[in-house]
Amino acid sequence: MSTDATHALTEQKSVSRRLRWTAGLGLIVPMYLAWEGFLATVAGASLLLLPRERVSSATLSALYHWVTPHAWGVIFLLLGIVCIAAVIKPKILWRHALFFLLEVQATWAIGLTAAVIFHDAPVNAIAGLTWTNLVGTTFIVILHAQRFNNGRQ
Amino acid sequence: MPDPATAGGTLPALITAVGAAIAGVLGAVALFGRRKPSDEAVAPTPVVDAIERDREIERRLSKLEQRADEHKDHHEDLDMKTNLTYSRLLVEESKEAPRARKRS
Repeated sequence: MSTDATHALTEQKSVSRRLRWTAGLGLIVPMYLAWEGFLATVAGASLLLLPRERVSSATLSALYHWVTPHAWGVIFLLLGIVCIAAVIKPKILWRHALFFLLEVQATWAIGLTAAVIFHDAPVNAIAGLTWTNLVGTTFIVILHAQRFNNGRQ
Repeated sequence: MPDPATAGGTLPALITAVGAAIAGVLGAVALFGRRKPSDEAVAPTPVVDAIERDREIERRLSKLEQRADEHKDHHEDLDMKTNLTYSRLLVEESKEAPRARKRS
């Protein structure tokens, strides 16, 4: 077999393997977005409805430095709406919802950790939860990019 | 007592903002990066090239066959005309031959 043909065959196999590996995304992404949308809505409602003392602590100081708890509440509610819209509406919204989710989760994960490291704030359980969520979202984003950034939409 | 919500220094907030910006850029590249045409994803370039070459060869071959058919028809026409002319000449010659013999 010629080098070109061997190369073509190897590439074809790699593409097939990648597509097979990410074939379950059609089910995973909406389920994940639905769950995250639910969490974001609950978080947004809590931030908006609970008294300020209940949603404030030294751990959250880095996050509340420029954005108030109420503003975060609105952001979380918007995130929840976008995630749920992405589940209901066509697949094109997935990317926007995943991007929004990744951005908010990264901000919270880094913000909660930065306060602990630089401000000697007590470690908050939410930090662990946010990092776990961020890892999950990053994994989904990578799978999504693997499948759809190669032309299969 | 300072409000715990805003008591933190600027540094953690700044680090948070920078981290969020980096995450945003990476996420945007991963999610909104350039998309290749779908054909390339299904079949790698060498395979696509080979298919294209095959199609081109088939197209040229069919054109050549068509031209060969046209030439063949043309030659058959010419042959038929030549045969007809030759037959007429033979007929005329056969008519002329007895007269020439008489004259001689």
